[in-house]
Amino acid sequence: MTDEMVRAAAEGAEPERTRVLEALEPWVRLMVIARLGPPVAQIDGLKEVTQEVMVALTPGITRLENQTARGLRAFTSQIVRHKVSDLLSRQQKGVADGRPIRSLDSTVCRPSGAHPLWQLLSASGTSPGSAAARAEQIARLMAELGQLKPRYREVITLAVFDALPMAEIAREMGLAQPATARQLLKRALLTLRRKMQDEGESKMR
Amino acid sequence: MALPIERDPSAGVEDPLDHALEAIRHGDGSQLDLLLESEEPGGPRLGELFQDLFSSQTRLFVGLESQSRVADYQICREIGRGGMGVVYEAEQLEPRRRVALKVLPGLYADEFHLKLFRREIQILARLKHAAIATIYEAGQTPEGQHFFTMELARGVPLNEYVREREMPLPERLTLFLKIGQAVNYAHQHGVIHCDLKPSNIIIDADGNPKILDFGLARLTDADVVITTVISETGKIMGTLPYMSPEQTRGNPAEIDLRSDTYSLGVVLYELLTERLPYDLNRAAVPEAIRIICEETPRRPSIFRRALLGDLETITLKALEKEPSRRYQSALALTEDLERYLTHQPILARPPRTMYQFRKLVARHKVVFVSLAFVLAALLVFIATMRIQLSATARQRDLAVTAEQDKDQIMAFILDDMLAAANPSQAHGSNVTVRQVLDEASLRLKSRFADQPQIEAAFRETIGSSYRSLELYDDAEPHLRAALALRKQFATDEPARFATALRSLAHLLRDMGDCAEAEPLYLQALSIRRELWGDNHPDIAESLTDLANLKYSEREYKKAESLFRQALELRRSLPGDQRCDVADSLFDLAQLQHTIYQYQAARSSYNQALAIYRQVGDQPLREADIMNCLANLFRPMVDLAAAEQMHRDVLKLRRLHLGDKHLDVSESLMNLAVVLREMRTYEEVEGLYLEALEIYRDLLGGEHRDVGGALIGLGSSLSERGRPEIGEPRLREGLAIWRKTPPQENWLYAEAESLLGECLTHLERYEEAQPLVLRGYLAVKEAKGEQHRRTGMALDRIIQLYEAWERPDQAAEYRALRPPAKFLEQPSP
Repeated sequence: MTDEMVRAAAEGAEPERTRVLEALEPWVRLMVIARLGPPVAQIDGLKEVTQEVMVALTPGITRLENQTARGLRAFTSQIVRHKVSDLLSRQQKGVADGRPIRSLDSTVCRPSGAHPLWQLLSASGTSPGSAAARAEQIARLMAELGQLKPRYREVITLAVFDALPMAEIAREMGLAQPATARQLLKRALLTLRRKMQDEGESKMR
Repeated sequence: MALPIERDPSAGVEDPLDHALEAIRHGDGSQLDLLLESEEPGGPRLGELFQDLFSSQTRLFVGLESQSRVADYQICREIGRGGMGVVYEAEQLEPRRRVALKVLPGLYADEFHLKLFRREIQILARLKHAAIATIYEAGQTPEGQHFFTMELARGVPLNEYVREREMPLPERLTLFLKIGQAVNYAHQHGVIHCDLKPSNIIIDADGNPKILDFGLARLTDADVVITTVISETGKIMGTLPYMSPEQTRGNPAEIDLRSDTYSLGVVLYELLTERLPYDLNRAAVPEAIRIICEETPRRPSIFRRALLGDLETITLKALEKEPSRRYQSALALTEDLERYLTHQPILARPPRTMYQFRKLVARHKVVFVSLAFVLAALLVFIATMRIQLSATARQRDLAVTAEQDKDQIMAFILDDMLAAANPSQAHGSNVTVRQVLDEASLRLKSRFADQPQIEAAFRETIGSSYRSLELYDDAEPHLRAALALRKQFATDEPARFATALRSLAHLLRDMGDCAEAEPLYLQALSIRRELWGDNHPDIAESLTDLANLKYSEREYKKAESLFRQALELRRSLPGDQRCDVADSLFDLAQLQHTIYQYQAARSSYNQALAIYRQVGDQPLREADIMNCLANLFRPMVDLAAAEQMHRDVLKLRRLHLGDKHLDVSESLMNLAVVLREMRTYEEVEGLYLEALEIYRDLLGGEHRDVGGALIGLGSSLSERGRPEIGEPRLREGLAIWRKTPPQENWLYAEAESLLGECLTHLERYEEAQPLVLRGYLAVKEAKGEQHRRTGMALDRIIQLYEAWERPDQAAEYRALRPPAKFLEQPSP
């Protein structure tokens, strides 16, 4: 996706808009997954939010101020955050009303379960055995991401999944400097890596 | 998947981290891995994993577009969507016709759903009946999409059809007969539908039914594979209000043709009354299941007077809880309806009184199970009283005979005590053990005013029952009165007097009044010594009483000495004393466990366990010992052994006690704690939730064990990075503990510190601070500085200050950690 494509889509060129939105959808889905946690029980939430984001993006793209790929990225990230937050509030309200919520997160740490979602996320291009092992690792990655403290999870999501630049991440997270965001991200990634290693070792035991 | 975002030249990527992130998006995760490796060697290759994640195909199913093609079919519109697939109206190109096309979404294309999908095809292929949609074709597209096509049923769902036309009763019954006959046809071809409900029955313009959706159906012949699939998952599948009790229990072995007969019964009920047999509107799923399994359906005649009589009897027979009491087939049901329609006598009969009484017991299983020990004690008592009163009658020339006394006792149990459990009386359906005991207490005095021995026996039983419910204030007057009554006959019946002394002493010990309990125990011991000498099982029992008392007073040395005396005595007694010896070893082991003599405790537990295993018929006692042993493995840092043993205990308890028992919930909680310590969280919340449900059902929502389970659940969620969901549960648990505090005060403070930890995760540091500080001080005071739990409380403070970016304060508390590892050991 180039700046030119985004500009054309923003100016109302239908083929470009379709192409841009089609290319964005899988990414939106990943951005949502990163926020909801491994969504075995959140599949409905995932579908719901992805759909809401795409619905918002369809007319929204014509109102894009910064008509570049970077601008669209930031814009999409904002919408995703908004919609996920709405979903979580709705689920929280469900808890307050005494209704059970399906997410709970009882599924957060079920990396080894061969749930279809993980099959859908499985790596391609390798032998079935190694693809399965890779899928298992990816599932663990997402499970551990879901267990990080909120600030760590947020910085990784913004930097890796939303692909926002450090200055924007710092602004979003209320940090004084992009360098602080970078430090925070580094700590978060190292923590994630350690957790994955611990988890792997405990499984070995 | 190609990256949709190209490098942004304006971003000014200079930092290696920014560069590495950008590289991932271009399919190269190795740069991030190099960078992280240089910071901290070793560890998984995160960058490559992110790269794989982004390049994988996210083939989430989003539905088929109108006009899109599946094999030779063109999609027209979606007409239904459920757990088992999506159904479209489609146009077949050759021969040209409209069909219903069902696809299995990619999202569900796992082995389990594929099996169900294929089975539906297999089942439909077996059935050729005017009231069952015919299958045309099944296959898979080159893209791997599984589908099948069948006859397109045009019409409206049954209940809508009936309502819109305001059909008179006989017509409704005639329509129902057609449905029943189609179900019977399926049964004859070895197919159980398992999801019969009005929305799966379409009525066409000519008034003919078509039964749809065999997605959950089962084959009655050797469908081993599928049976296994369902039992492995233990899922409840179907639509709750139409499901038979055995279906709601989720055990496939219980499901047979009669499950469909039940669902047909619900359909019939709805057809006749336009209501469901149970009001499940506001019930959560577990409550709805309980209602279906336990409560009596509302009589159809309540809604429609004309149904009173045979139609009601037929409908209610189809809705019997026990399959054996139901119509044994759809055919039997339809035949009885035909008899009704042709004014012949029907075969169904209303339930009899004795059966209704058995149902009363079944409905109030908890009450009756809890009362079982009361009843057992009373029945033993009756047997002995018969002999005793015969003698007494002769000796004292009493007017009443022993037989009359027995009848009086039985009448009291049945009319007065158990009457409280009858929902037709004032208490309604939520009767508790306490209500039964209260009722008996009120009526006792007047019933046995001139029979002090019988009154004493009842009071001992009722008092001990209150005690077991921890209703000490209610227990005390009964046990004191029983003792006073027994005292009148102390010379004739010293052994009973000693028992009454012990019963009151047990209560006083539980109430914390050890000073008053001790002389009673000593008096009982002295009476028994006078009666039996020093070498008698009762002496060992009394020594154990005293040992337990000393244990309660934390006089562990004295307790140990008394436990050992009891053990030695039991070992020296003639006859088979193995179980008593094992009990003494178990007592001793628990004491050693408490005073941190882990190796000794382990040896004593194992000896006790070996004896019980040798005896072989007391699996629950074995489970109790294994439970303690598993708890011992935790501080001995053998978590794998602890986990395995807790799993074994849970299995044993489930097997012998059923799923809904307090001992089962104890095991669930223990296993959850071990798994958390092992950081294997997959099952943890499920375990807490199941324990919580048991506690709520058996103890009520305000019991401290409910609070404990909520706190466990909340802190586990918080630990796993879901503090926003954990917080309300922790607060709910703490609110319960404020009203009904845990057995030890410091536990409350510790739970507050867990809430503090949760708030730390939520970055609400100021709120967290007082909680973690208070928690630490309380745990330290109770358990000592060196204790593992003190260490955990201290870690919560350190964690708070680190997250708050207050390194000085974090360092200050870090300095408080002792150089050696925290241990489970006594406070100084």
